[in-house]
Amino acid sequence: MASDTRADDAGGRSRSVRRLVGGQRHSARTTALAVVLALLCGAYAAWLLADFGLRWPALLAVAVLAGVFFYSRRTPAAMLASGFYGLAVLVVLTPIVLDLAFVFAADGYGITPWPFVLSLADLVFLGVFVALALILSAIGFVISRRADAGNETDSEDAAVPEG
Amino acid sequence: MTEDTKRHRREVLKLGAAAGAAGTVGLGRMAVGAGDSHTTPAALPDRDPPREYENYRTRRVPEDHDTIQAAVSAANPRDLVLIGPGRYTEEVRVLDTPDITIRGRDRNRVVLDGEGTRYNGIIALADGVVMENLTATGYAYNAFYWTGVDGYRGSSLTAVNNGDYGLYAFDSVNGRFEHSYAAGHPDSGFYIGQSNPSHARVENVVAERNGIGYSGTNAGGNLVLRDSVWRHNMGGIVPNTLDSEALAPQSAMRIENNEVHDNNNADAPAKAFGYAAFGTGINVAGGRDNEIVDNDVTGHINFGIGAVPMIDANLWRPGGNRVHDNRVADSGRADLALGAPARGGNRFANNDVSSSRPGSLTDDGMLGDLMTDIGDPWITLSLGKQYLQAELGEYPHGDWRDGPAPPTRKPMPNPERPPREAVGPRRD
Repeated sequence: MASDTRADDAGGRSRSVRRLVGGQRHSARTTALAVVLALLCGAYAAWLLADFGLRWPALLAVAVLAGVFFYSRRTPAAMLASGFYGLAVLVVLTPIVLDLAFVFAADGYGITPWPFVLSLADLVFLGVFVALALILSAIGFVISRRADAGNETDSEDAAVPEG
Repeated sequence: MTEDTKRHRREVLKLGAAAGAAGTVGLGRMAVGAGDSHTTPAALPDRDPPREYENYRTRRVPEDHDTIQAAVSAANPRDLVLIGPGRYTEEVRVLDTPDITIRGRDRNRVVLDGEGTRYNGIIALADGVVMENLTATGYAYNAFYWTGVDGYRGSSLTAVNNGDYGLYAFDSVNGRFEHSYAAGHPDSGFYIGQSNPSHARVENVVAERNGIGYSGTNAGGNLVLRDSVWRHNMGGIVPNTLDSEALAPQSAMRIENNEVHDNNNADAPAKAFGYAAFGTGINVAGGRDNEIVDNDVTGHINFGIGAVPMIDANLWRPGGNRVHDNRVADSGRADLALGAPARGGNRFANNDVSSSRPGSLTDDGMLGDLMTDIGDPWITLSLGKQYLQAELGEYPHGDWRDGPAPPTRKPMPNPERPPREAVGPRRD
């Protein structure tokens, strides 16, 4: 009886996890891809937030959330595309967080932060990082479109009647 | 080439270097600085005390000569030019008489005043010139300047509100700055440039309200900076490598037992290079094989002690620097920092700190080794952004002409004593 309950609990947890990841089940190779992408995003977030002393929480939170999100994608290509989109978001945030760390710390050093962070150089930095993010997004978009095109071709192939 | 022309050329080259630093996008086209470190170690062997001169003549100003320049021009080697209290509106040049001593009778009341237009308070092109116990202010370039000499000393000097450097030794060896004070200089309070091996020492000095407290381009090798206070500048201590001066890369300097704090002064006068170092305590910019030991470093919004790459005509990566037994606290981004790309061999050990970038900088294991070889691009980005901001010409800073008047500083005891050598004989 007890073992039946445990089995039911395990089954329930499994279903919850499945729902969380959009009902997806992937091969070990595709799962590894999701893990690698998640760790990459987590590491970037950890790097981004280290000035705030949030290196490890950022790594953990972003890696888990991104991992769940990536795993919920239907195909490896969609996963990869999402990975590029995720990195693009983090890249755009880089110059902003660089300045935010200064702004939040400034008061403790008796510094008025605005002349340091609202300058043409900040705009240039933002532009450079937005450009990098656009490149990453474009790569993600191309991967996504190719995957969609492949799926449509597969569907059309499947729709051809035999004989 | 005249000194002014040489200086102007260096300034132009420095500005070019700054522009290069801003252009990180062009990194791929830059050569990586490959010059080998000089082999002279950082620590300075002991010297015997400077010996007093026996046969010399004291030339008093204004009793014997109307101006300091007149006394210097009349002096023979080893003579003492002894200046009485007063305000002297002149620029003094020691062109070819070695081993003379220019000394004020009262450090706080013997004032050389450049009135914002004259270039240098005292410039020495002869070996062994000693400047002691006086104040210089209001010069468009430097307060006290030695260039191309063997043997120099600045003792009990006050340099305040000049347009470039306070105490400045360029292309010079065997020297000492001691018991001196420098404030209100857009470049740096104390500077030793293009000198390796330097065989020099900076000790018991105070630098505040400058762009940088100590700056030293391509200077090292038996060069020691110790027992001094570096506070309320934009940046504290910045040994650095630039291609615009000979002897790159900067290497082998020992920075020991200094008090470095609160170098986040947005009201200090500063050039682009100084502003790039804003909020840093000790910042090795493209230097190698330096020793940073037993310093107290607190209150910097960027980082306490760090090493970063320097981008000029070449990319100079920091390498082989040893940072140990320091106490670093209250840093905004990180107590210890190593900017990427680094050259490898940097070591951070036994420091009392609470944070570092990259994260495992102080670990003994493989990860720590990896991090000390690679560095963290965040550090380079944060200072690179400041550099770019300064290059674009809109950074917060004060004006050297507007600084407060020179404060009263402790004078040298017994200004009537006989003159001495610039530095004593080396024991090596």
